[in-house]
Amino acid sequence: MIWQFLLVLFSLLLIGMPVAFAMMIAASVMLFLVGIFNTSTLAEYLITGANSFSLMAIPFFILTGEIMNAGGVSKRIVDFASSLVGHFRGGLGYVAIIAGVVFAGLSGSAVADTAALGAILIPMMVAQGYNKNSTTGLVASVGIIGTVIPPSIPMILYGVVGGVSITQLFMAGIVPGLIMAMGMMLVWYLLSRKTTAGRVEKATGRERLHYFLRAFWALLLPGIIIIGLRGGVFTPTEAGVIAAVYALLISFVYREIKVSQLYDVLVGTAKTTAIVMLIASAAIVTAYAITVARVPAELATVLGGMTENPTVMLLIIMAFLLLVGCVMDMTPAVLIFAPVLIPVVESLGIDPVYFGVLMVINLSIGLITPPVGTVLYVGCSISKISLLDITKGIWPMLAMYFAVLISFILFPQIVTVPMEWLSK
Amino acid sequence: MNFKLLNALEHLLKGTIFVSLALMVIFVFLNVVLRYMFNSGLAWSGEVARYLFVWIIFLGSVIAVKEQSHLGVDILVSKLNLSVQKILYTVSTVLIVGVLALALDGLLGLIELNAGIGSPTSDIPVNTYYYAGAVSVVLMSIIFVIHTVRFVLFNKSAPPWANLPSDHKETEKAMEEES
Repeated sequence: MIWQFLLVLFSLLLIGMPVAFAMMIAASVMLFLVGIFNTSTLAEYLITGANSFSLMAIPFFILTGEIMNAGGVSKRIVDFASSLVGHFRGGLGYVAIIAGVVFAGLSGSAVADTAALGAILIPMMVAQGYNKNSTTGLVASVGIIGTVIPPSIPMILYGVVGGVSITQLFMAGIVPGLIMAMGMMLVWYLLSRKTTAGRVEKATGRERLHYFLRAFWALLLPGIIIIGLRGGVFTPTEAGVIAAVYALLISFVYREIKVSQLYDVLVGTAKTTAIVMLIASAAIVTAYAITVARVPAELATVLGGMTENPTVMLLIIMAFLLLVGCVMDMTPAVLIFAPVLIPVVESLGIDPVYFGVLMVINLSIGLITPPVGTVLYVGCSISKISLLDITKGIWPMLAMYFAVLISFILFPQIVTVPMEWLSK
Repeated sequence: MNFKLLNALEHLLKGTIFVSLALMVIFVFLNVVLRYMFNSGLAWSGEVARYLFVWIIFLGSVIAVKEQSHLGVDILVSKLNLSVQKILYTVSTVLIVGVLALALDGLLGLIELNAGIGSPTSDIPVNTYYYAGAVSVVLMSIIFVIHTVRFVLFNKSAPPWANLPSDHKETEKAMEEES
C-alpha cells in the first residue's frame, strides 16, 4: 500500500500540482483502495485539520517575525552583535551567526530568518570586501538554525501530526541549535583565517552598553518564551500570541513601525499561514488514510526486516530524508513523513521527541541543498548570484552540518541529556 | 472582465483575513491576560479564535491560488516545453477540481447534518467551519479553471514554472511591476 501512496503522490507532484491538493488526492485514492472512501470523511478531516488551537501558534510566530522585521528590530540586533564581535578577523561573519541565533529565538521560520539577516548583512559584508558566494552561503546556513532553536514552525507541525508535546520538542531543540551555531563559528573561523576583508572598528564598553540597551527589549523575548514554556506557565500557542503582541509593542516604543504597515504585515502573515495550513489540513486527511491503510505497520515490517539496530535504522531513515529534503520543501516533508515514520521508530524504542529534533535538523539541511532549497533561493535572490555560485560557497557549511547530524545519531546523549534536563 | 472581478475579489478577501487575524490575536491575547492576571477567562474566546483561524486558512488559500503561491515541486515540470506544460497543467487542474468537488459534496452533507447545532460555549453554529471550506473550494476551483483557460489559450496567468517565450515573460513582469 505504501508504494501506491508514494506513486500517486509523487506523480502528481512531478506534474507540478501544488502539494496540498496532491495530498488530498493521494489520500482519497488510498481511502478508495481500502474501500472506505466517502466524501464526508474527506471534508471532515480537512476541516478538523485546520481547526486546531495548537496550530494557531504558527500564525502567531510568523507574525512575530514579520513585525520584528517591519519594526527595525532586526537591525538593532545586528548592531548589537556587531559591537561585540565585529572587530575580529572575519568579524561580520560572527555577527551574522550571533544575530542568527537571536533571530532563531524570535521566529520559527528559516526562510524568514534568512531573508531578514541577508537583507541587512549580505550588502554590508560584500561592501566590506567579503567573498559574495561564501557570504551568501554563510547567511543561508545560519538561517536554518531558525527552525531548530525554538520557536519552530516545523516542530509545531511535527508535534501536532505526530501527537508529540510541542513544548518538549522546543526544549529539545535548544542545545542542538546552539551546537550548530558553534559549528558555524568553527567553519567560519577556518574560512576567514586569511581574509583581508574590512572589519568594524572595535566598540568601547560604553558603545557596547548603548547597543545592548537599544536591543534590550528584543533580546529579552527569546528568554521569556523559553522560560515561560519550560516552567509550564503557558502553552506554545499562548507563547506565540504573547510574542506577537510584545513585538508589536516594542516596535511602537521604538517608533519604527507605522500603523499603515500593519495591514501588509497582517495580510502577509495570513497568506503564509494559509499556505502552510492548507498543506497541514491535507496532511491530516493523509495521516488518517495511511493509518487505516496500515502503511506505518507495513513500513515497519519492511524496514524492520533490514535491521533491528536503532542506530542503523536512524542512519537509513536520515539518508532517505536527506534525499527527500533535496527535492521537497520542509513543510510538506514533515507533514507527509512524520506520521509514517514515528510509529516505525517508536517500535524500535527511539524517543519520538529526539527523532523529531533529528528530522527537523535533517530537513532544515534540505533547505540549503540544491536543486530544491528554499533558503538557498532566498540567499541567491538577495545577492543576485546563481544557484551554482551559492553551492560553491555553501559546501563547507553543509559538510559541517552533516557531521553534526551524524554525531547526534551516533551519540544520542548529546541531544537527549540536555533535553531531559530542560523538560524537567 | 472576468479578471477584474477576480482582482476585486482578492481585495475583499485580503480585507477579511486582515480583520480576522487582528481579531484572532486580540481574543487569544485577551484570554491569556485575563487568565494570568485576573484568574478569569472568556470561555468563548478560544472557540471564536478557532472559527477565525479556519476562515483565515480557507480564504487565504483562495488568495494563494489566485497568486499561484501554493507550494509545489517544479523540478521536472520547469524543464519541459511549453505545450507539454500546458497539457500537464490542464490535467492537474482537472484532478484538483475533481477532488475539490468531492470535498464540496462532503461539506454540503456535513452542513445539512449539523444544521441548527451550536458550538458548546459561544453558540455560534458549527456550520460556520464547514461554510469556510465550502466557500473556499468553490472559489479555488473557479480560479483554477480561469487560470488554466488563460494559460492554455493566451499564455497569461501562467504558473511560475512555465517556459513562456522570453519576450512574453518580460512584458508580463513589467505589467506586474506597474500594477
